[in-house]
Amino acid sequence: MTEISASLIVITYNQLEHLMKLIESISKQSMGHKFETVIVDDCSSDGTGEYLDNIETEADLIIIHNNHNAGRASSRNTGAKAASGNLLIFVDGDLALDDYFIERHISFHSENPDMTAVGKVNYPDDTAAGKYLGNRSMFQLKRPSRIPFRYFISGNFSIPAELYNELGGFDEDYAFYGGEDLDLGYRLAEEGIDIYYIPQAVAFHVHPIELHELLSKRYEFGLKGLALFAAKHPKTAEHVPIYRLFSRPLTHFILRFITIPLFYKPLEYIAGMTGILSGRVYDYLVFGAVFKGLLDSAEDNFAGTNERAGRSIAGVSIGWMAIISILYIFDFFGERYKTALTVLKDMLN
Amino acid sequence: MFVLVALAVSLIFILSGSLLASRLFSLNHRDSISVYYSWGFMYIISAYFMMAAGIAGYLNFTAAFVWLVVLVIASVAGFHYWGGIINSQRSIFRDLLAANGWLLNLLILGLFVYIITAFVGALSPPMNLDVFNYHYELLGQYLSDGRITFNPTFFYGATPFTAEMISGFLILLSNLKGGQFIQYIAAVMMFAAVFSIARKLTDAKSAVIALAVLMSTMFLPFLIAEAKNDQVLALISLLSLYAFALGYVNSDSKQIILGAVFAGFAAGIKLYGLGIGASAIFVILIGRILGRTKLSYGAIAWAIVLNLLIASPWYLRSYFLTGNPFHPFFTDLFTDRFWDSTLAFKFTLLREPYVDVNLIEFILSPFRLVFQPDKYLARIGPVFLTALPVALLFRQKNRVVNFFLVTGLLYFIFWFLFLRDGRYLLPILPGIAVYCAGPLVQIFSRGKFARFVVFAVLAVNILLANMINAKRQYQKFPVVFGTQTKHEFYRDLMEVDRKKLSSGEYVPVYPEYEFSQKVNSIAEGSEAIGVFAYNEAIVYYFLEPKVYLLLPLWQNAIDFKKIDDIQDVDSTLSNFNIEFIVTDTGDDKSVPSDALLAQYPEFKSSLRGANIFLEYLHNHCILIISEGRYRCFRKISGNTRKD
Repeated sequence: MTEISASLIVITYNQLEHLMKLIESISKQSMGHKFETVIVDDCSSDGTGEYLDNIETEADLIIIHNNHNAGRASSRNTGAKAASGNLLIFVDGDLALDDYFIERHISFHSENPDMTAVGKVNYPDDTAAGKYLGNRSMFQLKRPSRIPFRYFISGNFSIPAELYNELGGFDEDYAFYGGEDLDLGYRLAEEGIDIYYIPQAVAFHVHPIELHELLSKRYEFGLKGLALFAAKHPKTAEHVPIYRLFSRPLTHFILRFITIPLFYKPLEYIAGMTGILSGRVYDYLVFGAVFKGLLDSAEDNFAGTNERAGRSIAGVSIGWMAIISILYIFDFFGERYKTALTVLKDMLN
Repeated sequence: MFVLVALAVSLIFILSGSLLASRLFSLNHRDSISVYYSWGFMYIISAYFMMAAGIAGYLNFTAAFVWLVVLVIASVAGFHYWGGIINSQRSIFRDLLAANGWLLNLLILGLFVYIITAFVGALSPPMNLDVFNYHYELLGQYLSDGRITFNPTFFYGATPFTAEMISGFLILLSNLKGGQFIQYIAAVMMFAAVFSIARKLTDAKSAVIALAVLMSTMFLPFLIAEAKNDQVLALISLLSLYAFALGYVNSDSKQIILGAVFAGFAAGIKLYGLGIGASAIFVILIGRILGRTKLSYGAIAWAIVLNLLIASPWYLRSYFLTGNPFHPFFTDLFTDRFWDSTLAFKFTLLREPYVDVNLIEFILSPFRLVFQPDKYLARIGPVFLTALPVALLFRQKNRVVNFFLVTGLLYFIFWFLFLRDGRYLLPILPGIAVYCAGPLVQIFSRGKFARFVVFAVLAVNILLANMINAKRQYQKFPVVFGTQTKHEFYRDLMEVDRKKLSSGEYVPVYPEYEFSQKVNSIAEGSEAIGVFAYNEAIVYYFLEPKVYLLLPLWQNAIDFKKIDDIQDVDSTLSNFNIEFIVTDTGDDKSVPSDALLAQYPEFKSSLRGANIFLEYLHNHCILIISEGRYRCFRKISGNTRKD
């Protein structure tokens, strides 16, 4: 195998404070391997541009300024185009890297040249949402493991440049938060490329995550990213658990019922205020947020991607209306039949 | 004639109100909804003017006429709004009648039949029991005295009376029926407001459905054409909630103030109108704390102050008269001069058939409201129960509509805790109807079968509502069309026995009517009549002299516990200048053991007083009229001295 030269691609948007920590962590990387860093400023307005233009660092830096806010997918592609390494390592601008971060990614690829690797993101555990995120799904794994495409996340991952280019990079239709990683993960799986989770390649989320921030991101994912993914790949979307629940009539109906604001909102407020509720409650809230996003992505409560589920909702609604009405009519006339007869008699007389 | 007067007054309300609403709250008169705000404004302001005139002792035709002139002048100043107002209302009719498909047009036809039937009913002389018991009885006393007096023998003698003041305004300008007809106009305004708001928030189709949902409410026919205050309370509450909702969603403090003003108006109409402002402001406050609105705390504080300030006149009056601003409620919280242990126990008995306050009953209450209406004293109909759970499953993106739902639910909790009478849900039903309309339209548009089911549910219930409405109103038709005199109307009015609804047995509605006429002929020129009964009083409205109620179970202005001998009775009657006493107690010389008053030891001291009263009637008064169980006695002054 040819020697691996890595390009670390960082995208940032209005995260100057976090970016400074990231750059500091880049400069502390173990020097076993040479790598360049491409930073794509997605048209920040918080002084990121000026900071990057005047930065003094020993790191091999390429700075790119987008002249408009192009979104995560497009910015990553821009970064990838500018990169010269044969391994692309992508990180988000609000992460700081473990000292051996680059080394771990490179060493994985030196042994598994045709694979894609997703690293670990450590969330600060000073908030309940941070604790929840840090312990969910693959983050619980201690050893490198193959993961399904739906677990592919783009905040910390590496991919051979050639493979990335063959796949066409990220789909730039995802010009908003979320969904672009799911889409790329799916295309990797389609090509038969294994996706591995490597817990040793650690990045640290530098700011605490609050529940409302987590839920609003999940909502946006449901509203735009997942909805677009489902529209592009309707059958594959069924592999995403929340979409499967959304698209199947019975589970859709149950989810609709259990996520009505009457149940959802109080739990959201209690969880937000106390932070002492269990992970299951957070699962419910996160699922609920994505579900609501999916519902809102449709023009009305039937149109769009949930046709089957819409039918079931209509069916249940119609059934309920019919049953109550029939019961009422029996009740009404049952009670009043004598009165009705008297009125009728009076009218006839 | 009275119809023309009521319509003209309404028109004047709209024109003069448009001037005020546009100046104070920048309401656009071209917006169809602002017409209802304008009408509501002047309705309430006129009522407060009549109240002020009444307190000052000028509750007479001159005051009403002077106020009318003021309104006419304001209307002339606001006449340039006329074109915009007409256009906005024309657009409502255009949308209502626009081709929505034959199914919806059939529904609209049903709604028109309903409104027209009620219109005819509204032209008849008043016939509602509540109207006779206090709405018109107390108003009649005020008009007769030329001032708002306090009759302490009336249970509701100190409660808010805004709507009745407008009836009084119309009575002074036309006649009793004018006072009734203006309340019918309030009901029609409420329907139109529901349509306009639903149309603005969604579309014309939803607006028709919202109207159908609201008009399927089965107890509406019993009040829509009567001289009651529920109709205008529902309209004012809807307008208040709509303004609050817009203020909340758009962080517009002007709208919040408008909502607070109308919530204050609502509280001035009926005590439970307080629940509207309280629910809405609570939601807004929570929303502000959670950052869902950018309204300033100052604006919310102003809303609270204005709400209370505008409602305050009636509550201050009540406080000064009884010591309790909410008389006859919340008597535990205040020292109420007209409340005692007998009344408290009677109240407990009254509330006994009501459901208990617990979580299970709360959850069951929507079902009971539909299937066990006796539990909540009113039949609400099944449409809300069919539509609301369905609507809850549909995400609605419109925050105004969601505000209606949340405040509605809060009010429902308030209602369940304190009221538990189905009729008192009316203030939130228009908003809930608007909430339900969107999802129903989505189902309606889903396909042929879905369309059929939604239509069938609505159509069957509109048909039922029309049947109930027809049954309620058709008895009034002969007197309205002149084939029956008013005297014959009241004498012949029959109704299914309220106590045995399922029996189908018809009984006279006012069996005491003829008796009352005889009493009037004898008591002509007399200052006051006392009405004595063990339990509920006879319908005393038909008695022409001023009425004082002498009911051991109902009030303590004449405290039966303190009656020790017949001289106490005599002096009490003299205090009220009562010359005649009517009763439904037959020849009873003491309260029979099966009377409620005799059944509970808690009534013992009042029972003793009641027996002394009976003794007084039979031994120290002259029996003048005896008819069935009805008696009329004449007091002989000065014959009870112990010497």
